[in-house]
Amino acid sequence: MQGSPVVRTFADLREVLESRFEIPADSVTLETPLEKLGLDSLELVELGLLMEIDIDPNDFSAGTTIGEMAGLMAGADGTTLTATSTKADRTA
Amino acid sequence: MTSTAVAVTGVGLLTPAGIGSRDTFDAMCSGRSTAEVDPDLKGASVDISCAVPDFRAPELIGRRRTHRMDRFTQLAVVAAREAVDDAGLSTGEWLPERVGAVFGTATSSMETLAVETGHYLDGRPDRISPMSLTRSLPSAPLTEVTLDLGIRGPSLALSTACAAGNQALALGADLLRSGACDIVVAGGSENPRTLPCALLLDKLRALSRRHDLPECASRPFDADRDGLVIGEGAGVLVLERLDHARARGAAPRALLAGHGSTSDAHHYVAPDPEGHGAEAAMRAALTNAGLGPADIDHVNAHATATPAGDLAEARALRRLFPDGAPPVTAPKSVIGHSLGAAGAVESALTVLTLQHQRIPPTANLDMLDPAIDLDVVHGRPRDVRMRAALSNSFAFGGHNTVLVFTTA
Repeated sequence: MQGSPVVRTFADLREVLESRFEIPADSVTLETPLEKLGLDSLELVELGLLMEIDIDPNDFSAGTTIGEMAGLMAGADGTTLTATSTKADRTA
Repeated sequence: MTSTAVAVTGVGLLTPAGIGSRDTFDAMCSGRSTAEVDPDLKGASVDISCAVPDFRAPELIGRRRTHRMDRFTQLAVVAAREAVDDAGLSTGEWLPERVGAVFGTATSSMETLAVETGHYLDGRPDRISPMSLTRSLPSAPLTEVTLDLGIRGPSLALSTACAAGNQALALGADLLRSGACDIVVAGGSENPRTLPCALLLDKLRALSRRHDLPECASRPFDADRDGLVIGEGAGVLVLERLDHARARGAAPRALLAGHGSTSDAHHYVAPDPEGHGAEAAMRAALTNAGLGPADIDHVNAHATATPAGDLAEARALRRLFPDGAPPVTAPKSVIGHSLGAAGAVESALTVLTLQHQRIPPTANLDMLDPAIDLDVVHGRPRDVRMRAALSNSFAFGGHNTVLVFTTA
């Protein structure tokens, strides 16, 4: 599991959530529901921009977990979200 | 409209002279220009400015909220917090529906528009931040201040070029006089230290070209003045009905006794050479305050250091005060021209001038323009017994607003 796309995406998510949104990384687990992060719809889209993923806030419910989001972002189940590019040149 | 007295119970200032009203006023009294070469303007035809020193928004507002704001909004939020704190107000203690907010700005957010449009032109529209629109609206400071302070009364944003700050204060006073509010948090903020703004202002030939000696560049009323120096900043006043202030035991710093606004209807950027619109605004403000020219002890001049603007203002003052104008000072010599913030910043300085009974000097006045017959305070601050003062703002487009402040 370690080093899988989902785990790497989860690590990136935690890093971005802390650096941009001041959400301590250690407070975010795979089971943390999105609702608990307190991100509004603009911040969700911004999160997608930083992760280089085109996010539609309507794709998530309040109960969606970070693990599920990471899975979607990593394309693990091949559903709504697809990466638009690498995040190598991401500037937080 | 009633004649309700309007008290100034709080002052907030972020200027190139300092963070906070105390530091700013002390530095203003030193009379040294804050202009220097600005790395943010590298590549511009004019690359000097006056910047707020050591302004670290994330430490004051938090990274998360800072990212949602352009710098002109960050400045407004911090200045508003200082003003409310200075007024001894706590957001939990006021009736939020009875508190209003009025803010002015001129250019709002040229920087965000340039950066985000750049993403599109680079073929990367996906990089456009969803925060961009709300960051760049002229009402952005108003939005953030009302969110920050929990203000739920009327909120109004003005964008009348370099008169916006003073107009915001005037409108705030009217909200109190009309009975719509008990308290109004009002002011202006601006960050013209951006490449687009510097480039566009220079196309008007409005900027000083003294690249080699930036500290000598902004020289209002001086014979060798050659244009303005851009500066950033925010000025916020807490305005309050005098009876409301007294009822809660607040000590007003001054009274906003009256205001007057006129339009030149003359040109896009050039002032009426004789300053008729400026004179009319000063007379209207005096009438609104129930005072006459003889009651005025000091003038905080608009004085941007453009050859035409300073001369027009001087002519207007000479007609208003045929026996000689009271002592005049020109703050833009020290802190540059913060456009839509300037009126609010300078009105805040006028309040402090009256409170301290001390007029800060004008920097860089080496030789008064022979065509200007004014007593311009320079060299050192002047301690004068003052009861009333004018704060002038005369904007591009001929928008003129003058405020009258009196001691409390």
